[in-house]
Amino acid sequence: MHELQARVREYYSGTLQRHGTTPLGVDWPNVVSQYLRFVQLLKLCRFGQPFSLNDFGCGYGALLEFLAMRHADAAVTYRGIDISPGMVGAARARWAGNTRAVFAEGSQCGALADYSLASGTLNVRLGHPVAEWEAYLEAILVDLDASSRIGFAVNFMLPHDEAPAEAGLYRTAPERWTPFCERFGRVELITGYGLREFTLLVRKKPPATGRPGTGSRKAARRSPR
Amino acid sequence: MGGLVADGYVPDVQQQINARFIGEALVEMVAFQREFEVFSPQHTLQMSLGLLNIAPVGEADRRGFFRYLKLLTGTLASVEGKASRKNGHAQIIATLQDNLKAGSKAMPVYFTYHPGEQPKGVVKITTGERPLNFSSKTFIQISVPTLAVRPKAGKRKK
Repeated sequence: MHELQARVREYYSGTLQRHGTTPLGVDWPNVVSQYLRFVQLLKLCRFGQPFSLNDFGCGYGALLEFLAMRHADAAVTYRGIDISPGMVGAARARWAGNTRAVFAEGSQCGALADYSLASGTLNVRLGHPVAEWEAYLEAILVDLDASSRIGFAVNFMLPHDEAPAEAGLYRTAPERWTPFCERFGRVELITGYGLREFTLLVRKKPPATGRPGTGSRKAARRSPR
Repeated sequence: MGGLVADGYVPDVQQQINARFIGEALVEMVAFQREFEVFSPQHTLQMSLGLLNIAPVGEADRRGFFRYLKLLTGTLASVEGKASRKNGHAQIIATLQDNLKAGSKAMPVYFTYHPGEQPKGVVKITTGERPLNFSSKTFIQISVPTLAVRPKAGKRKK
């Protein structure tokens, strides 16, 4: 697992070095496709109230750009996590003035939030055997569940109609991951949004106490008023 | 493109645009349009193509390409051979907007170029063209006017 994580770290540090803090720098072809993915993932969140958010595999923090554009009035306490130290450094520099955003280097979320998202993080397998990659993804999904108070959302690339999957990428069908995620809560499958992929929104059972928007681990322990 | 983009990069940027308007990428474009109105009178072509990351790689050529797009506001336009009231820039946007609005019925689009007419140049838009003789698909064809410009002595040699 460590070797796999090291390769992922090295890969994204390389894309950042080559393309800077741009969609290409996090391996997306353009900003519009990146944003269209955010639209799907953020269907998980209730924007009518403040909430906290883990952005796992945050890159340079493109999600913050999207939130500012589409949900400028939303009170989102944001925590970006990335395995690449270069990416985290770039994100910190880019968002230095944003008091609601923090970034952390790591291969796990590392803190509890209302919601956790991972966009594209599960798709670049860099030639690792599928079984090994899927074990890695299972560990990530377990961590996303443990780090999310209300729910989490992830996206996967769908297989081509005829051509085999590219060696560097992981393509899969919803049937592979929907049952796995159902152990965490109610799963909503989103597909047909123009990209060859699908998004899973996993909503956990509502907690007996506590309110959405209280966000941090500390706040979640408060007694309801 | 009139000396604004190095000759060698013009086919490359043409290919970048055309690849966005056919097959699976066209399905994506329909979704982009539905969600973000990528092509609309509120956005210049520079903005829209910039968002799609369509431009030559080099900084000078990138600037030249965006300048060329801006210059299209000074051209005329024709649709199916009839003069349009819109300028070339606005007509391209309107055509792409209408086409992508058609959802699953959106047609592939093929961008090409022709020698610019004096004094303004005309963006020519025609539907039902088959510019790719190896393909059975019919396209909306958007042909933009270009001028051959000889670079001044001492300028770029690309």
